[in-house]
Amino acid sequence: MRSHLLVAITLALTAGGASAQGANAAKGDQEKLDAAADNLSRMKSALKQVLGRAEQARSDKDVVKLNCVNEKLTQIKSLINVAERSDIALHESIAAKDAGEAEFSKIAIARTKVDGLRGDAEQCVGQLAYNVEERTTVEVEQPANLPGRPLGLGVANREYNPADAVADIGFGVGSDTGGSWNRTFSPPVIVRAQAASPFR
Amino acid sequence: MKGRTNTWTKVLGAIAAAGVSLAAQASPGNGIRLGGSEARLHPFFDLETRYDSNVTYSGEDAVGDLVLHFRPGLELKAPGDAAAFEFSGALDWAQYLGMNDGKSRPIPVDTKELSRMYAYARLAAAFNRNGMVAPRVDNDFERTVSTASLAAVAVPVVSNLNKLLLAVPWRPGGGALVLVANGEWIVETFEKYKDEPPVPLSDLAYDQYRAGGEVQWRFLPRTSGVLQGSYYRRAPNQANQAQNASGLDFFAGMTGLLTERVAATAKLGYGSSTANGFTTQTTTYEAKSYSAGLADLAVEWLPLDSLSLRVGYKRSIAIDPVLSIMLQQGVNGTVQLKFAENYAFRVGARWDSFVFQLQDGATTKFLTVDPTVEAKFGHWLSGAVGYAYSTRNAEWPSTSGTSQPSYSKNEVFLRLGVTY
Repeated sequence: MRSHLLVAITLALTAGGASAQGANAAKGDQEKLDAAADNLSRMKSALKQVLGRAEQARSDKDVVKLNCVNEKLTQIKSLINVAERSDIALHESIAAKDAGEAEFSKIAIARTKVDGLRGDAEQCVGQLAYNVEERTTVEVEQPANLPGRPLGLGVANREYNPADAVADIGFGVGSDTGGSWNRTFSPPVIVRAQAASPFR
Repeated sequence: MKGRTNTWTKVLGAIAAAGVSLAAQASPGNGIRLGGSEARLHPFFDLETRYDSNVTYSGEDAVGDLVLHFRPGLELKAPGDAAAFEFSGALDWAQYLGMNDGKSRPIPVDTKELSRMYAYARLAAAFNRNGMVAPRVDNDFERTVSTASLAAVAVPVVSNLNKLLLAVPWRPGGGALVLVANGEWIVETFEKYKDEPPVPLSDLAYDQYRAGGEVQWRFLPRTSGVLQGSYYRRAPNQANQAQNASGLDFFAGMTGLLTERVAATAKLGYGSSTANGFTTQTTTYEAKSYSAGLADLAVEWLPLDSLSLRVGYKRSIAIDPVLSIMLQQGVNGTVQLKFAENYAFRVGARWDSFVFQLQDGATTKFLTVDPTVEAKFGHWLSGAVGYAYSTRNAEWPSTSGTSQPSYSKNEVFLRLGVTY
């Protein structure tokens, strides 16, 4: 199954590479190598982001989302494999005074496809979509800045990095305890003053 | 003195070396797994060195000292849908080194006598978290020095405070509407810190009971409208005490995210409290009722992922163990900045005012400013360095024949923590 996927991706990239040759003909060798390295770096960055999405879905125990993200993840990994092989082939071609246009184009197309898959993975997570009267689609996206730390009971916090907590805007609002009573975002009142030995 | 300092230097060095070697041996693990469950236990140890310019909380002739805090503790996390538990607790031995003992002062002091054990323990248990009815129980215990607990007599005391909270939320339908029944039981006792207050501390212990209800309507994923109400009763352990009082309060408003980067709480309400009459050595106070508008307002803004600004105001009615009903008002602000990935700079400032309603013209004000840099390296090593300025300023009517000393203090601390 995996090998079939790889073959299909390679064929697709080869076909795409042929059409992209003209556009890249004018690029110098060093420019090609730099651009290929940049594309690979961006693909790996996308992989990292989607891995984060998968981890989030796993911690949410949301199997549907996890399956969706994993599907994109598998394709991204395969594309990166192809791109890495093409990068090696590109280096070899340039060393042999060959233009290496096909390999260069494969990497560029792989990056485009990875960008698309990353966008698809974003749609898997944090999306609540439903249809109204079978015609209108209403999409409600959750804010991008949801708390960075997992939603526990808020008592044992030593494992959290205080630096990450800076971005925890409104943490505790609408918590799953159902009681804003003790978890609401609210300014604390100094019922008792700063302790001589304040705990963290 | 010199010999003692050398001894302490050696002790400090030994502890620091032990801490470093312990840290070096500890693998960046993820705690101790309990049985085959997902529960994990994290032992930790904090060592803090703190210089306090006024350990006696004196208005004049302040005595400074270096204080070492040794804090061994445990954290437990047992996640689960049917039942989830979390515990965090530590003992805190505060060792005063007596840097200024024996020096010439109007009143000789021995600050080493202030050394004692403090502690905290917090436990939370949540049940049936994904169900329609999901009860949660919290118990918080804290033993600490408090200057606000007995604000009316202006004496710092050691406070042992235990707070038991029970919340039973009911989510009919899809969960947008939540109805919560809650209850609270507070027990507080006091011990001498340095000076005996003018009233016996054992008489000031109390129980406080609160029962309430709350309606939440979550109209956006993280934004809710809330309606809250509760009744409370303060029951002193001894008869004829100032804090024999009861009251009601109500709040209505909203809390949550306004945009992706702005969160706010805006709750306004009304509170009323009634205190029974009582007699002190010099004065007889008649029973009194007091009502006031209440507020709970806050805005938090996240202009960058690494910068957070927060400002808030709160106005509430509270009970002082010595002088009964007081109106509390507090303004606070916090700026947080994340830098170099693992570091957080925080500076907080807060101003609080207690206005005693049974004694005309009696007020106490607190101001605190505390910048801190915190850092965490991996799962197991954390550190913090910070400064805190705090001051208390009391105004008391001259006709009462008593004076309430004010104080200010500067503190600098360095804390290292190891968590397994």
